[in-house]
Amino acid sequence: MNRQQKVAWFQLAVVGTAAVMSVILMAFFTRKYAYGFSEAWWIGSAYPAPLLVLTILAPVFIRKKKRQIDFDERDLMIDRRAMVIAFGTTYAFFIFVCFTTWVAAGFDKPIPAYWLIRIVLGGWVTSVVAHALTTIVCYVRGGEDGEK
Amino acid sequence: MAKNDLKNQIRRLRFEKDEMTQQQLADKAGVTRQTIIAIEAGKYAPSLPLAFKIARTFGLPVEDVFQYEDEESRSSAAGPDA
Repeated sequence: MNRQQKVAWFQLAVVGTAAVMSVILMAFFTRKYAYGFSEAWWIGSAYPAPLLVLTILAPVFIRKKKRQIDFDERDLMIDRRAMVIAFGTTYAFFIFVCFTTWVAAGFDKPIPAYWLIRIVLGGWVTSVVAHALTTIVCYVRGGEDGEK
Repeated sequence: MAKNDLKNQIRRLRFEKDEMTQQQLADKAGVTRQTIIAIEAGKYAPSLPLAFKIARTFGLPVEDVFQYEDEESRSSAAGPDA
């Protein structure tokens, strides 16, 4: 497994942990304080959100080994493909969420400004997950780890 | 559109060259071992500069290491009766 794959797995692990924590916190707030779904979702997703900063710091934690070639033309090709798919997925996410928000809020009613934070956070998570998943899938398709 | 395929002789050439490992070839060509694995398995077609680098590592012209095959060349190799 190379550095790009490790970074992708790390990012998926961080997003997965944040998602699990959100669900646990949502269940906790709903049961303990009898919050409605919207409030519980808001608080439950707000606490693990800082954890997502780790996805940006992944390349810092997983450092390049000295004198080792760890990035070449194939890695660049995979990274570009992952970026294109991540951009496309995030774009589709924004279109979908904007329409959903419009319908959910009511066609003739204002949309609360704090919803923008949710949409941006959701877009960021979508982008990170799409990039990481595409990277992992491309490496799996692009050659098995054979001879050591 | 004809189906294209890039065949290569890297595996055979490595063993003929004192059983060179994939890592040694990767270091000489300036790529990762995973890329050599993918090229050998025919899952990744290298760029022209990389194909030339690999060929030079073996001291051979690029066409001795990589062979381009499409449906037309396959059918002509099989003969007119095929």
